[in-house]
Amino acid sequence: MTKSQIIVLLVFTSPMLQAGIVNDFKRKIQYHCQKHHSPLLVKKVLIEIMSNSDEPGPFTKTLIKQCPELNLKELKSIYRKSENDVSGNIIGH
Amino acid sequence: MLTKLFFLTLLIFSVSNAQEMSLKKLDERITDLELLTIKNKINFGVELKNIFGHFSVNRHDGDSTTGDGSNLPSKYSSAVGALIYRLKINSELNERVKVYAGAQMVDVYNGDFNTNDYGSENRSTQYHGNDIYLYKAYTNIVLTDRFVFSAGRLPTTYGPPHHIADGQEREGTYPFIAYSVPLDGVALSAKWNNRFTTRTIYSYSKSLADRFSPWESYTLSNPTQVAGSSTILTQMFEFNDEQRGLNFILQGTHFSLGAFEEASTVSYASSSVGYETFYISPSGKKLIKGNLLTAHLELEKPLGLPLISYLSITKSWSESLSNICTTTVLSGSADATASCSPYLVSSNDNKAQGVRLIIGSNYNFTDSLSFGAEYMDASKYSIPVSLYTDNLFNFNYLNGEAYHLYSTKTFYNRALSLRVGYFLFDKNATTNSSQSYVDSNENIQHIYMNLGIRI
Repeated sequence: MTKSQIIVLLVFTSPMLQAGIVNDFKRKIQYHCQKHHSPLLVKKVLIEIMSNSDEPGPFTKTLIKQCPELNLKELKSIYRKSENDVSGNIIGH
Repeated sequence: MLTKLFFLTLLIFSVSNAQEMSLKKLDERITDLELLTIKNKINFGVELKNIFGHFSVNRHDGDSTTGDGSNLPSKYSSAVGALIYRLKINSELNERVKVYAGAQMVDVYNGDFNTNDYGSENRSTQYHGNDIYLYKAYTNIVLTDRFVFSAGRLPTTYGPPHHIADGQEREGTYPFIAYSVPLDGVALSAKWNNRFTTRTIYSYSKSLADRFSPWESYTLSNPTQVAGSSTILTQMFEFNDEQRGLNFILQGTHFSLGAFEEASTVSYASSSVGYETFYISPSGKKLIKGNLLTAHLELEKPLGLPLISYLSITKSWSESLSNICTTTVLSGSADATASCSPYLVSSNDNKAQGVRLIIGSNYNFTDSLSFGAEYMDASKYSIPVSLYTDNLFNFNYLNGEAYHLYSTKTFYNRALSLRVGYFLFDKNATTNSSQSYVDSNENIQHIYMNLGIRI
């Protein structure tokens, strides 16, 4: 399999690998910052946030640098909201 | 020269071969991940709460009403522990069809040591002893980008602002003050834009006399008639601006409840009297009809302050359509006369109005430490339909005026929370054995500790 085939495979399968929470988190980050970020960066930030650390990880620091409106507390709050939005607590969400 | 060319070709071939090998390995790993994701259509979450509380009750002179007719002393205190365990299960067929479920066990600590009087089908209480039951189980089907159809046991419990005290996110759809009981039904939600959503929710119920003959309804004896069905229709308008931290819900509900099945219970009264039999029956096929209008406003970080403030208000209009008749017959005695009074209104009028109010704020000193204060007021005839709560003290089931102060410390990104608090409650009305409102005059103080974990 060639590199280009793998890239094509990744492009088509990545939506399948994204759980609802990833999409929702990405959408909320975009809404807060009013700009588009690398999907891979947002996923890495999500992993760092989910690890419950009290200090921002390297990807979180990069995102905060790109979008100064955000901080670790705000990102944790966005994550909790995303988690809640995909949990079925609200009818029709 | 030829040797050099040979080695160069060999090098290129081996690099390309190694690259292909590593790409194959990468593809294999991605495929494994892909398979795992496709296989994992079900997610589990767990919540466990331990609640410990102490009640101190002072019944003022002249108050002889306890609702259940028991003879309690004018002053007493008691300590209670409660355990709540929830298993949350989310599953998805694909992005458009999802199923959500939640099962819970709620019991007072070792509650069955003293009594086992908790029917697993009694939905008016969340305390079902050792039984695990579903408090939500429904499907969301995305019809179009705008419309979502939902059906099943809907997430109608523990709505806002119930979640704020523990530093959590919203846990239910209806404002807590309007309704907090599991409700089976269907709903159509419409997302008009990023901020504005409407929901129409319809619920129907009819109890069966014989579950093997689902076309048969039970009959009432006096007068002989078929018990009526229940319907609840709710229209909800929700405005949610995440960026400004504003959430506003306006909700109207029309309800009409059918009569419950006649029942009798035998219990031990005292050594001198022996056993007594208690009969309860409705006089008509419908119990009550009415309307509820609810508004809930929640502001996150108003004026840039690190707090959440909220106001919930609901007004109810109800009309009793039946009397509830009760008779207590002591063993060896002649039949007693039934006493009858209208359902959930006053004993001498079949119509009533009432207002319930919650106003509160939660101040975040840090991301993990907050302090909250609430004021609650419920007038005498306001309908009590918020029966499920993660507090031992459930103000929304009661009538009177209450103050609540608490502090919450959270750990591990709010997965673990410890809340300590104090309630001061002046109770001014209660329901008697026929479920009519009567005056009451009690002062209840409650201190508690609530330890919760969510995984």
